[in-house]
Amino acid sequence: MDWSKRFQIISGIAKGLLYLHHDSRLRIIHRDIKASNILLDNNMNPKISDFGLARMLVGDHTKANTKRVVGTQ
Amino acid sequence: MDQMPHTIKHGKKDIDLPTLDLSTIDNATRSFSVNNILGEGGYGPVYKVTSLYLTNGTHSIIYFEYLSTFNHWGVLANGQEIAVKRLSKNSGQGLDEFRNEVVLIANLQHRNLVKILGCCVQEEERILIYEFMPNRSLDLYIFGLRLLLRFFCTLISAKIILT
Repeated sequence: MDWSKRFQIISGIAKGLLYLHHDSRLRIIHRDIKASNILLDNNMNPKISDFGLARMLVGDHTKANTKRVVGTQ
Repeated sequence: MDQMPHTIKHGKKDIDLPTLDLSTIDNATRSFSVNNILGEGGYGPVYKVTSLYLTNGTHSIIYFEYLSTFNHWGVLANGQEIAVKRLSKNSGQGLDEFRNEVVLIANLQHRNLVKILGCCVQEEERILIYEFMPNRSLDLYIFGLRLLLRFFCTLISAKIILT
């Protein structure tokens, strides 16, 4: 995989996260970001998947106490 | 995806997520056939059994191939390829995650988030339907070599068991 493709994937994941954290109607933290949860389409565009552990923040909150450590291997 | 008039109720708000009929998914995945298996779920490594048994006289070899966290792939009547995540019936934790995923992802749309096409809540089944991603997941590209190693270990242990 060449560097332009790599960069495209990295910035795509960052855009997805930015959308989750800031730009969407809901404020969402994913909590399980890892390589196996990043899927790649025909053109190698990255797509974040698996929202099973994700949390929604209410109102103006920018932090949540998630207490427990989560994640899947 | 024509036959989806229903939406799922969540609290007072309707979630704008189409529900698919179990029979539609059943058709698309050829009754959840072994050939359509993509993986075993989000817990631990996921494999696809490509050719079940290749018997050449003395030993049988099982081939495993690392794939993504989705259970099955299928093709809908209109030709669209789908990835299907099927909740195993005896996992309570999975049910919470299912609900969580439905509520969150149905409200999101972005070109860098995987698109959910619908879900199916029928009888005992809890199924999520996504668009199919032909290039699998990023870990295959990053950890490819390590996964290959694991593949050979599995192959060797399978050989030992079967001979």
